[in-house]
Amino acid sequence: MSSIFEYQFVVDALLSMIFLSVVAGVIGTYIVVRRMVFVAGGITHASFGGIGIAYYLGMSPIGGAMAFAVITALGIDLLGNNGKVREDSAIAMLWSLGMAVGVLFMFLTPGYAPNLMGFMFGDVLAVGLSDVIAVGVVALLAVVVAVVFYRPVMYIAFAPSFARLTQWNVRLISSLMSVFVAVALVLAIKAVGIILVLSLFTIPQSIANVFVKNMGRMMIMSVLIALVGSICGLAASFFFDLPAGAAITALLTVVFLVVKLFVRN
Amino acid sequence: MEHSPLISLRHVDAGYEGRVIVSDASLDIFPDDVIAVIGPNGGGKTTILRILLNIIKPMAGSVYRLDGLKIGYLPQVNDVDLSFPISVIDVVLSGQLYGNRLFPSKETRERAMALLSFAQLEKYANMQIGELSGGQRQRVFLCRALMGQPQLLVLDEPVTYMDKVAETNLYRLLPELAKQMAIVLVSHDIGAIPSFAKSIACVNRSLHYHESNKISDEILNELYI
Repeated sequence: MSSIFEYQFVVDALLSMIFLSVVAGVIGTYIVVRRMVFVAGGITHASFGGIGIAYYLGMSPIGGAMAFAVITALGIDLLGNNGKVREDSAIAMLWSLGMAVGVLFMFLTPGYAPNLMGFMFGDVLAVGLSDVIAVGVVALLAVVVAVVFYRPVMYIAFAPSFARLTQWNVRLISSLMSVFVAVALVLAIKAVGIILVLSLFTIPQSIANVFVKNMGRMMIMSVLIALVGSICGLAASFFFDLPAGAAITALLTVVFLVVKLFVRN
Repeated sequence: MEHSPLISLRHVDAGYEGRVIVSDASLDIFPDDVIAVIGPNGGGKTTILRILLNIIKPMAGSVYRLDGLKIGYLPQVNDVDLSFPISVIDVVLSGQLYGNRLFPSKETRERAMALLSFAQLEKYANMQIGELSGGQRQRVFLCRALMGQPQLLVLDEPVTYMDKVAETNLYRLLPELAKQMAIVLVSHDIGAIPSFAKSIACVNRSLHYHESNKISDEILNELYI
C-alpha cells in the first residue's frame, strides 16, 4: 500500500480531496440548511461560460470559471432580494446561459478541442500542486469563517428578516457567503467535475443530518463523511481505473439510502 | 411613571411604492402602555408596525423615537424552516443585541436560560426548534424578542393558528412583562383582545386611539364602515 504514495499525483490527489472534504463539508452544510441547492447548481453550471471564454482568450479556465461563478452568485442574490423576477426561473436562465456561452466559445476557439469530459466529470488524478494549495487555503478560510462567524451565519440563514432587525448586516453577510459558495464550488470542479460537484456539497450533509440536528455538528460530521467517501472513491479510481467523481457520488448515495432505511430519525 | 413617549407618530402617511395605505396616523407609545392594534386585513396594521420597527420610513409626517430605543419583535407565525438544524437555546440567543455577539458569554447564556425558564421551556433548551409544538415555538420566539431587553415589545398576530391552551400559555406571560416594558399587540380579530390591554388603536386606512380596552360602537364603526 505504501508504494502508491511514491506517485506525486496520488499524493496531490489525496491532499486535494482532504482539503476539498473540509470545504464541501462546511460550505455544503450552509448550502443545504439555507435550501440553496438549486442556486448552487446554477452557479456551478454557469461557471462553464467562464471556462469557455478563458479558453478562447488563452487564459486560465479556472480563473474564468471563478469570475462567472461569483458574478452569477451575486446576480442571484440581487434578484432574490428585489423580487422582480421569479428566482428559480432566473437561476435556470443563468444556468443554461453559462453552459451555452461555454460551448459557443469553445466552438469558436481555433485549434484543439479542450477536454470537455474533464470539466463535466472531473479528474482528481490530474490536479497539480497549485490546485492543492488553492483548495488548502480555501479550506482554512472555511474553518475560520465557520468558527468565528458561526452565529451570524446561522441566524441569518435561519431567519433573515428577524436578523435584519437585530442590526446584523444581512445583505453583506449573505453576499459574502454567496461568493464563498461560488469559490468553493469552482474549486471542486477540477476534481469531481461540474455535473458531480453537488454530490459532495449535499449528500454527506444529508447523511449527517439524519444523526445530528445542530449546524456545527452537521458541518463536522459532513467533513468526515465527505473524507471517507472521497478516499474510497479515490482508491476505486486508482485500483480499478474508475472515474473518481462518479465512484464517490455512487458510494455516498448508497450510504445515504442505507442510513435513511435503517436509522430512525 | 415616565411621561415622555418611547415613540410618537405625528400625522404619518405610510405605504409602499408611492401608494398610501394609512394616512394621518398619530400615536404615542408610553413606557407603561399595553396597546392592542386592531383592524381588518389590508387596513394597514402591518404598515404601522413596520413604521414602529423602522423597517419603512413615513411618506409624510414625523416619527419621534427615544434615543437608543430597544424594540423586541415577535413576528407572525410564518414560514419558519422547521427542519433547520438550530436548537431552542440558539434561537433565543439570536435575539441578543449587544455585547460579544460572535461568542456569547456565560452571562448571556444564563440570561437566555432564565427567559426559557420564565416561559416554562427550560427542559427543551437543547432540542431542535422543529421538535416543539407550535405554541411552545411561539414562546421560544417571545424569548428571542426579550433577549435584547426591550423597552417596547411588538407582537404581530401572536395567537393566530394557535389553540386555546397555547394562547392561554402565551398570554399569561404578558401581564408580567407589561410591568417592565410597553407592549403593542397586533390582531385582526376584535374578539381576541386580551383583558390586560389598556387601550386600543383601530387601524383601517386611518388610526383612531381609544383609552379603553372595551369594544364600543364607535370602534365597530371605525373598523367596518
